[in-house]
Amino acid sequence: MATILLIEDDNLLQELYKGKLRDEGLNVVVAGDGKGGLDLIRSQKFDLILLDIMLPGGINGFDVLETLKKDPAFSQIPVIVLTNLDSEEKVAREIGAADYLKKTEVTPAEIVKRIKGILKKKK
Amino acid sequence: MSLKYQDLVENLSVGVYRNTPGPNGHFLEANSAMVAIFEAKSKKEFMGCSVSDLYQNPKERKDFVDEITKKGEVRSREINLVTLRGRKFIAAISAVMRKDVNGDVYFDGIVEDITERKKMESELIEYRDKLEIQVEERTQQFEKTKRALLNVMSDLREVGARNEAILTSIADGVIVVNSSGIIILMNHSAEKLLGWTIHESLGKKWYQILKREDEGGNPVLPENGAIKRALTGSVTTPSLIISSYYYVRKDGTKFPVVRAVSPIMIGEKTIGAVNVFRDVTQEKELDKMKDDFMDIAAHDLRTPAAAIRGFVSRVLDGDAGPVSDKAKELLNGAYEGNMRLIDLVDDFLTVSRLERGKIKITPRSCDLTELIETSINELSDVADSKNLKLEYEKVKLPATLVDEERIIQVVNNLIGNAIKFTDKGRITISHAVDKNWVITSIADTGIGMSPESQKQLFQKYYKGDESASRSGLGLGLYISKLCVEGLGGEIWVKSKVGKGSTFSFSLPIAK
Repeated sequence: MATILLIEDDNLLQELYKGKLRDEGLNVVVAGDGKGGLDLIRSQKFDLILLDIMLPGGINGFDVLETLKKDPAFSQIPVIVLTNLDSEEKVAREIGAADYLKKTEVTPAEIVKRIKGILKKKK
Repeated sequence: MSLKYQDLVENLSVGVYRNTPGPNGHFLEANSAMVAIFEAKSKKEFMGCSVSDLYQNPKERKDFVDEITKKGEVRSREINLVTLRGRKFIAAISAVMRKDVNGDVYFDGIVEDITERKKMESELIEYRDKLEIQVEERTQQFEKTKRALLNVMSDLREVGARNEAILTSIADGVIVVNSSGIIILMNHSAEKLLGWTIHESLGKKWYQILKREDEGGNPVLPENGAIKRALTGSVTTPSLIISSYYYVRKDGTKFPVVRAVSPIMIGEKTIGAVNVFRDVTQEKELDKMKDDFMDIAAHDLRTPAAAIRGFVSRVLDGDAGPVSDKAKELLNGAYEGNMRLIDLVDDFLTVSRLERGKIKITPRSCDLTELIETSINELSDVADSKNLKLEYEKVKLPATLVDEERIIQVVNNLIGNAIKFTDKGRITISHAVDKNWVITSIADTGIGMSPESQKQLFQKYYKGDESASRSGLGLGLYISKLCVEGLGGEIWVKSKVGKGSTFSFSLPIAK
């Protein structure tokens, strides 16, 4: 069973994505901010990261993404950026995001489809 | 000698005489002229007269005699005489008193009929008096006119001073150009705002003083400026062309400006233009605060909207078990409402960014017809569902400078509106090429709109008779306008209520 790290600060959306992913047979761990997310990554193995950009606590999603991609231990973990920002796709992909989804434009079902697609490719 | 004299005297045209003084005075000598003057039949008849007979007024004779007796002579005395035939006349008499060897006194004199002369004199006097009155009247009229003129001049000066005071006290900058674009008037506020003194500015062309830059720091060429348009009469009513840019001061610094340019018309003729402008740094700052707020608000609104979309779609997908048709219907309603909310927020944000120039409208040379076909394909289902024909009069077009994403948005908006407001008939998309522009027109056979609606159609938040954009906020056409104008083009509409509307926009040909 694949394990997904969800870094998202809004509790409603946490519930939404966590619920869907679990119902689809995926393990989900949730972090509410950037630091928490990085701590989790260092302590656990993840197959994929769902990453929000606007995060509290001074570390935003891009910071997390950069940190991950710079670290060879974690740079191979595929990261899907899941955000409300609509003009950052180019930047995200340049830093190394595998995909860029806008929360209002995708349904949970579509997010799962993308995740499964990327996980399959990894294999 | 005496013969010559006799001859001389006899033939003189003035009357020459000698008479005796006293009430019984009579004539001793008289020449022919005397006879003629007094209308005597003969010298004999004349000589038979008494001197007093010839006087109209005996008192005049007495005075005459008294004076000549006292002074010895009288010169050119005017006397009222009467001829033997009774005709009254005025004479001028000059006479001297003589004494002969015997001590007898007599008067020697000359008589002239000056009646004519007197008449002329009195006529002259009358004429002169009349003239004097006329001159007096004219002088008075002149004085009156002069006073009136002085009043007018003083009024004009007052008006001039007042206008100048008004102009100076207008807080906005005012610059007036004549029909050649030369600055002929400028107020103090314009001086302060631009850094150029009135003295430096008068006589220069407007674009030497009013240097405009857009949001991106790109200078705006005078040919594209509003003053140019106002002067060339492409605006035929004194309407305002308001847009916001930056003016560059004399020292190179710039400030955000809002300006209104109107042509100055006398009748049909444009004799100049006036530009009224204002520094809107504060308003822009407020705007920025609003825009920053917009960004945050948009982001914050999207979160719950995403949540609703996610949860409702899960139920509709069957993640919570089978869904009854009724439940599906209701949930779809919620889902659709939420989608509208998402669109609304998107539009809001687009407008906010377009206005700020934050969305880079990057023009690229491309084939407009392909973009239009893409849009038509996307919307053909909707058109079919209403039984409307969607026709494209495709022609070969020169490459145009477009920002693909923006133009697709514009075409979608226009075709979408056409479909929305047409119940039957067709929607026709066609092109025209005009000098450096490719014009695209979308014509429908829909309900059309009133002239009032046409005027306000492209304004922000204008909803018209019905909602004019998918978001229902009245932003769709406004966004289209921003996109088209951001590429240098124009967008406009022609419409008739009940007949339909034709929306057109122009895009520059890529060179």
